[in-house]
Amino acid sequence: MLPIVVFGVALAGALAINISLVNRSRNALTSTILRNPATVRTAKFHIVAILPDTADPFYTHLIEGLREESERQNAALQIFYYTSTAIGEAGSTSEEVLRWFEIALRSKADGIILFQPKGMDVQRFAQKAESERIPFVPLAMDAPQSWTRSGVTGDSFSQGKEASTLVLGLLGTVVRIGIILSSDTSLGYAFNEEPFYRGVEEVLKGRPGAAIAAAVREEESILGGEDACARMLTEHPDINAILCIDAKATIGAAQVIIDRGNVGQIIIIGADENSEVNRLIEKGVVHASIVRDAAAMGRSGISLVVGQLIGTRSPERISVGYHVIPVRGGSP
Amino acid sequence: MIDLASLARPWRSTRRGGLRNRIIVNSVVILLVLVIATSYTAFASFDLARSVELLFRNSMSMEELRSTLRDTQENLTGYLSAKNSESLKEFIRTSTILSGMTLRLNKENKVDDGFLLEKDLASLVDSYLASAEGAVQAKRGRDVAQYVSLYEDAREAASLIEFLSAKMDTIHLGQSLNGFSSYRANISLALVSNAVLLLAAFLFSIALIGRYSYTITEPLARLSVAAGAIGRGEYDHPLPPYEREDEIRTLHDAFVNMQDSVQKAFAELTRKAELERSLMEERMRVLTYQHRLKDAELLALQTQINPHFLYNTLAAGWQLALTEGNEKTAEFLEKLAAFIRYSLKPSTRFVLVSEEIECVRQYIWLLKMRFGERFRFRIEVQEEALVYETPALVLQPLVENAIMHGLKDLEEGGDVIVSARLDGETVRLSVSDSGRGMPKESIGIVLAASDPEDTTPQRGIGLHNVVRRVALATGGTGKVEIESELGHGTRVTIILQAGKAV
Repeated sequence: MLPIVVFGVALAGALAINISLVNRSRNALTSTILRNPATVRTAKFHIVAILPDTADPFYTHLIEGLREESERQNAALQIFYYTSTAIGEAGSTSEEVLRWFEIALRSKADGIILFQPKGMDVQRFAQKAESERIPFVPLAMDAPQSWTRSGVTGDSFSQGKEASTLVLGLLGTVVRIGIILSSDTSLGYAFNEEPFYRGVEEVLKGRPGAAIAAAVREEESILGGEDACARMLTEHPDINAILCIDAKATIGAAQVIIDRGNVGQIIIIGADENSEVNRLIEKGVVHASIVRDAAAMGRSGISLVVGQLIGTRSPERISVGYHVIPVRGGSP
Repeated sequence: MIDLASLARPWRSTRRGGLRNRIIVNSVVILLVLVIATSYTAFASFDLARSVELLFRNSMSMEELRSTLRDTQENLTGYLSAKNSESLKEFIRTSTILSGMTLRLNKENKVDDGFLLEKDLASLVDSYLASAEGAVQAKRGRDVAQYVSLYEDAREAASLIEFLSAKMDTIHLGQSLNGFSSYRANISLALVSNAVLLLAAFLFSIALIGRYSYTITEPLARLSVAAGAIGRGEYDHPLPPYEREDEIRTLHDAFVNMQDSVQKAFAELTRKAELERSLMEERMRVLTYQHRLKDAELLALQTQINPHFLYNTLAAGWQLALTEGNEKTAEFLEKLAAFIRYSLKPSTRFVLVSEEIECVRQYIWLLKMRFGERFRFRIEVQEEALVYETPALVLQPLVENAIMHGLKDLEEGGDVIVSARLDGETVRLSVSDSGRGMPKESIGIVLAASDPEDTTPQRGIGLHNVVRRVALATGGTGKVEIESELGHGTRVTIILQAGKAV
């Protein structure tokens, strides 16, 4: 009797597994190539988001926020990706972004969200969308000076304040700070006008022993953060803390500190998160990272578009917050 | 009235099909499992084929759309540049085809990247056609600025359509590749699980075959052993109970019933054999009676002195006495001869009570001739008793015994009373005397002669013979009673079942 039970159970189990696997195989086709329009949900709104094509966790979180809010607002989210490697190469990026934007306009999307490419003015996009009566919400790390109406941005001013506060907490009163700013100058800010810089400056007021020793912009190239940091430390060897504006600057600064054997001597407060930044924090090379809330940026973008569509909101500017890893009280 | 056979029929039918049904059901289950697995795999293969076909079809559709778009744009350019009517006709034809193509595309806000791209494409084509047709209308209206502007717009839209359709191809290919990769990964595992399924089905089938083989052959083997035991005569060979309701149970029950029947038949045979043995013993006992009767007859014959010779001699003496004129002697001889002739007949015969009484009268006459009036005889007969039967020559020995043993030595003589009467269903013949009586021991010894097995030596041959012959002749239904008191006499009574001669 036992063999019959064992083989019977094996037979039933194998059948169940087989059906499950074959179903999964079929689902792999029916959810992609063979999907049936009748089984796909129809949303109330069609919102197009034009984003850089990158695996940077910031954008991953941004997309999560966009999708989450779209689902909540009964909107079908369509994402067009422009080539991320072309960021900074203004010509090709503009052309690609323009194409997607034009497609979004002509396809009569209900709303358009655009993550502002570096070196590109979003005002003309806004005007064109407005002429077509399509709600348009640009996203950016910081608000360009040209923005007058609607948009969702990070808050580099608060980021700078938080970074300098962290450094003061770690080093006490004698602090010589070096700042690595974004290479993007399209916002039209001088060094001392950059929101991040101003945030640091705000905290150091009334601290005689603490000062900004230098501020540099990272280079456009992939190793731009490293070059800028190396140059800054060469010119200002008294720097004992480096504050970074983004992940590229953070990774570059960390490499320079490691190469110079200054780990533990120079504090690095990074920005954003990805696997490399997280690894550097774990190793103690980077003491903390101030992560802008990308998901909140995405949620706010969708919410703002839908709000305009249903008439509950007007175009407005929204700044999202940030969080620190490791959190305050952790072991940087 | 309830037909028990009809009630039992469905049960029997169910039981008879039990094992077969189980085998069929199990086989069907295995086949069903394999059919389901095969069907699912077939469906997956069908989906794969459909997917590949759809992929190519989509790709072809996109290419066809692009080609038609180029033709339309070319015709538009041709018409706008030369106002050629042929170009206009072609423009209208290709733009109509292009418009028809958009009907196959999704135009709703579906939450799916592919369908949204179709919506975008459809909108772009609509946008293109609107601009192109607007340009044609403007050309006809000779509005140069307008048609140039609309033409540029159409050209830009066409460029976007080319761009989007190319992107869609790439996206479709990417999605399809993802789908196929996922399909391949799962179907590879499904093939492994198929192999496991086949192996499990094989082992399950083997286990079931083994199980059913055992289920079928084991009880049959036990039945075979039991049948062998019955063949050796062990009719009560125990057969283990069989609990399942199937064909084997039917066979098992039939065998048990047969075993019971055989045992009952043998018990019946044994009972009959016992009965026959009893009958044989009874016959043997009857034969023994008859044998004893013959012995008694032989003994009786031996005790007689050549009676035929004596009878013939007496007959000669009777004739002589008549010749010489001696009538008294002649009468004596005549009576004696008649008595002897009566006594010469087989003692096993039955005679009427009247004949027996007549014999006794003759014997008494002869005794009176011998003893004179020394003994007083009285015969008391009830007429109704005379017609019944009695073994022959039973009263005369009793009278002789009364004279020879009861009264012989008495000086004053004595009385002898012979009686015959009917008492209900019995005939009672008795001889009583007023003689010296019999001791109880002697009575017991005499009456023991009624037992055929009795071989006790007898002193009084006559009384012993009567008791034995009455018992033997009546098969034990007749009996002899002796009442005696020492010094006061004896009465011997023969009690017979009243039976008339046929």
